[in-house]
Amino acid sequence: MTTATRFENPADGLRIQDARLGYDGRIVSDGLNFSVREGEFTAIIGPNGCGKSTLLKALARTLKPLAGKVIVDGVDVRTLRPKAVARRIAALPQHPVAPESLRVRDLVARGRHPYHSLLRQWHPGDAEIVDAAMAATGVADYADRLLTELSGGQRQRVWIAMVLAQQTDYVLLDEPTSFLDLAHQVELLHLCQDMRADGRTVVAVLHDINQAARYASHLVVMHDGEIVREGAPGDVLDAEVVADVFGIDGIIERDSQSGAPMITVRDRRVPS
Amino acid sequence: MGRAVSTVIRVGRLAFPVHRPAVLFCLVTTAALVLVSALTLTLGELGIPLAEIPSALSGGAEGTSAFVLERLRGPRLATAIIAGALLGISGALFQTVTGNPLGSPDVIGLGAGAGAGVAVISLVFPLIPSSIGAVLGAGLATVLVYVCTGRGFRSPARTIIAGIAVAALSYAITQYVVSTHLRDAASQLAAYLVGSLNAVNAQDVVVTGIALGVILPAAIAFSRDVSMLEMGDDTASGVGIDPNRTRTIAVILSVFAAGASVAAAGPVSFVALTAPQIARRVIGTSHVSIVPAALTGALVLAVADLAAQQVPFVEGLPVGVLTLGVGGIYLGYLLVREHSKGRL
Repeated sequence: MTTATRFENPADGLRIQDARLGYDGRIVSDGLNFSVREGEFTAIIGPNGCGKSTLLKALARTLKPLAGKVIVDGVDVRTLRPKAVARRIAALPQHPVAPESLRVRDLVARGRHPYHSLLRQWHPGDAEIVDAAMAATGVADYADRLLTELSGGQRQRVWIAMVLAQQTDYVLLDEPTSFLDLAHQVELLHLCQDMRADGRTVVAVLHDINQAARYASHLVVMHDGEIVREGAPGDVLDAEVVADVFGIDGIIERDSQSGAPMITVRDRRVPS
Repeated sequence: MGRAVSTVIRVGRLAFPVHRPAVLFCLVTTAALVLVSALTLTLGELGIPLAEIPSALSGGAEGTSAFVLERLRGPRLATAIIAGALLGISGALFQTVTGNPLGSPDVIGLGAGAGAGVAVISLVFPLIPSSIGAVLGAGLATVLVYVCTGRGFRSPARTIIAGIAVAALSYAITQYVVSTHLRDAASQLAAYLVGSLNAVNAQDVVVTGIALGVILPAAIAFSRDVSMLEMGDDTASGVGIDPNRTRTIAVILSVFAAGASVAAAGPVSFVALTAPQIARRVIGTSHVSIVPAALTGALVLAVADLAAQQVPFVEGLPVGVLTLGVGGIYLGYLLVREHSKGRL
């Protein structure tokens, strides 16, 4: 364990280098290279099985690359202590388990864990940080409720509050909007934008292309385990990529408010 | 902002947040433990008169009172409390690692393994201390269960089924060793193997006391990391936990706690299963509560042993028979509940 060498080059950021990623002998991506764009809200999109969640898991170090490495601040994450990494990168999996009889405030306080040690499990500033995280995500009103009593949308915001309390520069979210109804999806995407406005770098795997284009500032399109396109939503999404990657015969229109690209599926009854 | 249920305890540079309901629970349990201890020492024919207790405890006892305190009931009571506390700690850690109340050391054959270890060591290699046999047996049983499930302790159903197999294997080894050895030694062992405090002595108090002195602080310091595992491995790793390392340390602590307890009191069933659950339900917290679980374990075993000494019909029975009877009912209830929640 080398703790002395950490953060030797903070400008180097978070990236994955020559990675081979997969599960139980099935390789999803090989020779994958990706650098997280600093200060952006990046959405990784692509059809099911394209390797977008796999890439995020590798960055979040819950999936160990079969080859290659994940580098943060110029250092291989595997040489860093887990708590040191957790002070730089917060990651939320697709299905976090809500423990029984745990109150919202206590869960959010778990975001402070990377700053604690075995003998020092609380710091004087922690209470304010936890309160601020709950206020920012709008969960302060039910701070003393049990997590299991909350709706899916409320619970997802509590998880985000925990991630905020971690006070990291990088926030990685694996399909944070799946299983939420539309209003809560939008709420969550607004939270992602807020985190970016606060100076955090957000990377999220998203399912809905139009939501990704509308809310994210940077798009990464994946197909068959490879990154096929990357850039601002307006530059990345065109009829070709929509057809090749997603298999949709679509028309690219512009969102009337934001000007973001918007895909409309071509009506098969109207001759083109 | 609502009221915070946590208070932070600070000792110099050390800081631990604690739940106020947990502190209250600990105070009540400690008071109950003092009451049960007083009853254990004073009741019955050989009981020390209540008025003599303070002077007896400070070393001023004479004659019968001294004999009862130092040889008969004192070591027995102390072992019940310490062994019960160790079982409570062992259960709290193991149930969190497996993520299920049924993934408890006594259900998955850890106690039976420790018992087999003691039987083998004390009858086949009588020169080696039996506590080593208990820890080795518990460790071996844990490894076997781990291997048999095919995916560690993450699946409660597989863990329990593998545990039943390992427990059966352990009983077979125990029976084989007992039935092929000298009647005298074997019959002494028979009572011990259901869990009994009838034959404990001052040495048992010292051995279990040292084990508790080491394991309790380690478990307290470590309990927060273990609690994080309840959010799933990926979430825990997001807040800086190494899930595999945390699980391994928790299992090792749990094996040592169960082994030390079994070495003194035999494989007393269901204390490790029930104590952490009682504590958790009453306090209503999701953190792994080491101290409340330890106190509850101590209280459960002390009460059971008091019954084994004083209650008609069960009087003189090994304490393990009592916990087996009461705990078995609770196990049945848990099985039904977990099944109806779809967690088995």
